[in-house]
Parts: sequence; C-alpha cells; structure tokens
Amino acid sequence: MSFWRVVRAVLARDVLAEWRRKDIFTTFVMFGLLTVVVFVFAFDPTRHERQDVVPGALWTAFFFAGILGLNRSAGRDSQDEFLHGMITSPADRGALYLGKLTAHLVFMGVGELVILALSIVFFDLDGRHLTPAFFAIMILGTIGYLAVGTVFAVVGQKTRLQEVMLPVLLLPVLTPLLMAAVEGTAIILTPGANEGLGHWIQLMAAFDVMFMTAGFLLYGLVLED
Amino acid sequence: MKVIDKILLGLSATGMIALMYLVFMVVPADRAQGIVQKVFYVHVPAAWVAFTAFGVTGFFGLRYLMTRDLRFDRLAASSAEVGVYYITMVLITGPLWAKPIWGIFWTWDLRLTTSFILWLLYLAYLILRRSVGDRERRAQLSAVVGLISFLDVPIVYMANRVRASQHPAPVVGGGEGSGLEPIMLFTLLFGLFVFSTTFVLLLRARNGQAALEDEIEQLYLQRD
Amino acid sequence: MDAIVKARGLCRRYGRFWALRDLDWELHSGEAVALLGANGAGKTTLLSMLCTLARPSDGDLQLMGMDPRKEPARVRAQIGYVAHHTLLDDALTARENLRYYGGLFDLDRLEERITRRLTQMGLIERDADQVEGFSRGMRQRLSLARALLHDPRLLVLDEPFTGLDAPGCRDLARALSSEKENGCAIVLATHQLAEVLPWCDRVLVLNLGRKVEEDRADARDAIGWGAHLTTIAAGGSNPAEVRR
Repeated sequence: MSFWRVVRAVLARDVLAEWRRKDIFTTFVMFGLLTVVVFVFAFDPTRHERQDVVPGALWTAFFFAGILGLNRSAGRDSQDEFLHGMITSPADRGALYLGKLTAHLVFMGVGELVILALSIVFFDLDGRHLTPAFFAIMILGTIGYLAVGTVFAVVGQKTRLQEVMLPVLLLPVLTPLLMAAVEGTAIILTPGANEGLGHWIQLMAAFDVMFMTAGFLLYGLVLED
Repeated sequence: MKVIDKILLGLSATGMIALMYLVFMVVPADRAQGIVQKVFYVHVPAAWVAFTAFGVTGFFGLRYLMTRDLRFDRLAASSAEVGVYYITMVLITGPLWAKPIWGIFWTWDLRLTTSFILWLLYLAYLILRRSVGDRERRAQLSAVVGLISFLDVPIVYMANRVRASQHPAPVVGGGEGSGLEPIMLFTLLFGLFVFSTTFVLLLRARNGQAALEDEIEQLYLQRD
Repeated sequence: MDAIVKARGLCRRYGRFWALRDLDWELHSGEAVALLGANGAGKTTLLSMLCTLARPSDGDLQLMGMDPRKEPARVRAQIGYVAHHTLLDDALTARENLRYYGGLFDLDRLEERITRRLTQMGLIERDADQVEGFSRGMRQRLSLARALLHDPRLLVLDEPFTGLDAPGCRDLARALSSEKENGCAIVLATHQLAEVLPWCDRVLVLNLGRKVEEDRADARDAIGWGAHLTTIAAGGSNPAEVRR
C-alpha cells in the first residue's frame, strides 16, 4: 500500500542520510552525556545518595539532548527547502509523520542506550534493575517525546526564533511525560518499591496514543503553508 | 460601543463591586484559616476562567484549521491574551494564600502545579504568535500548537494527581469540599459569574481590536 | 487538448501587498510557455501556486481539471517541480535520491524508471555516487530526473538554468523540449531567452504582479524580447498600453 511505502521511503532516507552524516546521533550522545556529567558534579556524590539523582539525570539528559537532535533533523530538512519535495509530492501527510517519527525513534533510541550504558558506569548502577519495565518506560517516554517533538520541530523552523522556539513549545507540553518517566524510573531503581508503577506506565501510554494521533492528523498542516 | 458590550460592562462593574462587598462585608471568615482564606473567592474564579479561556483558544484554533477563517484565529488569540492575565492572577493569589497559612510561598501540589504548567503553555503560545510574521502561517501554526497544548492540560492534571497520591504534601486551598456554608457557596458562584462576565467583556474588546488590525492590513492591500 | 492549467482571477498576497493579481491564463498539454518578467514580477508566486506549494488568496485555479485543494494527492501525482534548490539529499547517491521520491510518489517499476531517467540525463555512470560530489549542472539534471520520474503531465520550472554553463543549458533545453514532444505541458520562468524561445509555444509576461502580455514565442527573437521586457519593467506597465 502506498501509505507504508511512504513511511518506508522517509525512514530509509533519514536513516541512510544519518548513517552517512552521523550528526544527529553524535549531537544527541555528546550533549546527553555531558548533561549526565554535569549532574554528577552538580549533585555532590558524597552528600546525596547517588542513586536518587539517576532518574532525573537520565531523563533530563534525554530531554535536552533530544531537543538538539530534533533541531538538527528539522534544520536539515528546512535547509535548501528540502521539505518542498515532500510537500509537492502526493505522499500522505500522516505517512510522512510516521516515517519521521520512526526515524527519530531509531536515532534517539540508540543514543539513549549509549548514554544509559555510560551512566551505568558513572553511577555504578546495579544491572539487575534494568528490567523489562525499565525499558518499557524508556520506550514509552521516547515515543511520547518524539510524537510531539516531531511536529513542534517543524513549527519552530517556520518562526523567527527557529531553534529556540522548539524547547519553548515542547518542554511545557512534556512535563507530565517527564514526571511519569522520572517517577517510574525511580520506582524501578528503588529496591522493593513497585507501588504505583502501573499508574505511571498507563499515563505514559495514554500520552503516547493521544499525541501520536494528534501528530498524525496535524503534521500535514504544519508542513504546508 | 455595542449594546451587548454596554450590558457586559454594566454587569461586570456592578458585579465586581457587589462581589467585593460580599467578600469583605458579608461572608464570614473561615474558621480554620481566618480572613486570609477570602483570597479563595478570587483565586478560584480566576482559575476557572483561565482554564476555560485556554479551552476557547484550543477550540477556535480547531475551527480555524477546519475553515481557514481568520475570525476564529482572532478569537483564539484574544482568548489567550486575556486568559494569561487570569492565570497570572491565580499564580499570584496562590502564594498570597499559602504563605500566611502554611508558611511556604509555593508547593508543587496538584492545583498549583497544573496552574503553573498552564501558565507556561499560555506563554509558549503567545511567544509563538509573536514569532511568525505571515498572517496565515501564524494562524495555522498557533492553531496546531494551541490544540496540542490544550489536549495536554487534562494529562498534566492526571499526572499530578498520580504524584499527589504517591507523595503526600500540603494542599493549598484546603481539601475538596471542606465545609462551605451556603453564603460562602453563593459568594463563590457569584464570583464565578462575575469573573466570566468580565472575561467575555475583555475577550470581545480584544477581539474587536484584532479585527481592526486585520482590517487595516486589508486596507493596505487595497491601495492600488 | 485538455486544459492542464486553468486560472481565473488568480490572486496571491503576502502580508500587505499583492504578489499576483487577477491572472487569467490557460495551459494545454504539449504546450510550453515561458514565463517572463523582472524579478519581483510575480513569476515565482505563480509557479508556487501551480505546483501546490502555495494556496491562491483569491480566484480560481484548476489543475488537470481538478481543484488542488479538494484532491491534492491526485493533482500532485501529475506535477513535476524544478526550482533553484534541487530538493536532493547530498548524503544520498543519485539512485537513492530517486528511490526516495519513487517511494513518495508510489511508483511501479521504480528501478526501471530510475535507470531510464538517469540515462536520459546522462547521469547513469554516476548513479551510485553521492550527490555531494556532483557539479551544479549534474545536480540540476538529477533534479530534472527527479521531477520527471513519475511521468508528470505538468512540469513547473523556476529558473532551472541558473548556474549552468552553455552545454548544461543546451542539454537541459533539449530534455525539456523532448518532454514537450511527449505531451507534457511545461511552464518555466527564466531569463535565458535564447535557450527557450526556439521550442516554446508562447510567452507570458508579468509585471508588478499582473499579466501584461501573452504572445507567441516567435513574435520576437531573443534580443527583441529582451528589449521589450526592459521597456515593460521600466515603466510601460499599463496593460492597455503594452500591446503589439
């Protein structure tokens, strides 16, 4: 079906281009890692229980690095009017959205794993904590982040403020997702406490479904003038 | 001034005076919290209007996307520009209430947190509008962002509810349904009515101004 | 001959000024029209409406007999667009770029089409090379291959000759006139009169957003048209005055 063909075409192009350029991924990992390092130094490990800081540090790193990554991606498409090629094609706008979203998921997902691996070393995390639930939260959080981020990144490029517009628009909307991700991760990393995890996961799932639907329906309106 | 605006102005002005009279002269002070609790009669109506105004913005943004009629965009924008004052009022009256009673200016409880996020959403929307020069593009992008932002509000509320249930903390404003005597309830409802009327008055005023701005642009077009 | 483009009272504004006003115009299949006028005359505005990048502010526009606002996908599937920007991803090879567009346009027998168009544009030797290493002329040719990949019925070109050397211009002109032979309708904005007049049927002249003249391409030679356009841009902009 032409719908999935468009999704595949967009995904293939984005992944291929990134594989050759590697700048979205590099930006994301570098900045994410630096954010984690800042946390390590900002929250003096001798005074605070190191582990308390981990969920916040991880998700702050993902959220801020994600903004840089999204800006690189949207910036590249805006450059030389590459988007015009998408707009003047008959491709279904929802399919374009899904293709972009999936590509971003690939970049951010891999980047998160790298940052996570390095954080395990820095924070001396217990590997046993990395349960399926932990990864479920990472996936749900990333999907929700990109569901809105993919749309807002394009919006930002069309304004005078450009790159700066994205965090201004995105972060307020994502606060509940951030809350859920951090609280959920904290619950998983704390030995013995698994109360309330279900609520957070449900909330994140609801967020993801709602905003993926919204993004799917609205992306075309943001692409075109 | 149109007739309806005159009526609204009359209702709002007299209503506001009547409300202040009720609040300061008639309604008894809360048994537990004392006279400070009376901020409640401004805090709650302001919150009610602020949340509704954002809904108005989201709704008319959607209408714009469906019709591309700039009238809807003007209403959405005007609602946001007026509503932001109401949410600011909520964020000011909150600490005014909290400090004397609980000793803290702020707490990240359910209502204050949700109100604060709403304030950020309003600001983001308004900053976006200022950053786009082209009229139609501004309307289109604002409508999308406004709609997504509005859909976010219930989720913000629910997230904070879950957190509140897991991390007990002081609740500014008292628990739900903490004993309102009839006169207090009446004053509260009257306050809601007066604040709503004032909102509609201000919305119409701002919207009228926006219509004039667009008309001026049209006149430039007709130059040649 | 079907009307590929039918414009009635077409208008487009940007903020406080009209970029295009009251344009009545038709284009049929197999016709090639050169869009002429000074910079700022409204050429790019018209072309962007023809390839559905921009919506008309007023007036009526039908493409291939359809309303682009009601049936955007069907309309877009039949239009090829070439502009100053190539709309190609530098990190991808020529073939990969065309595969991407082939996916967006949902084309059958894609590899065949790609090979055919690349050969036609003289790029088949470099099909596996990244576009990054291509010269300006090669990029434009690849851009045209991209625009022709889906066998469009309408080709919209905005100054496609910019940055091309003489052989490059000739190759491009040749490719375009051969598409015209195949029934494609072509509208292109250009300043390179000598390259296009030999094979264009008509000329549409815009000035300050209005249609000022429409005539047969062979009514004047390249130099004649050049002088005529200068006159129009300099001041004889009243449509009633500027008639043959």
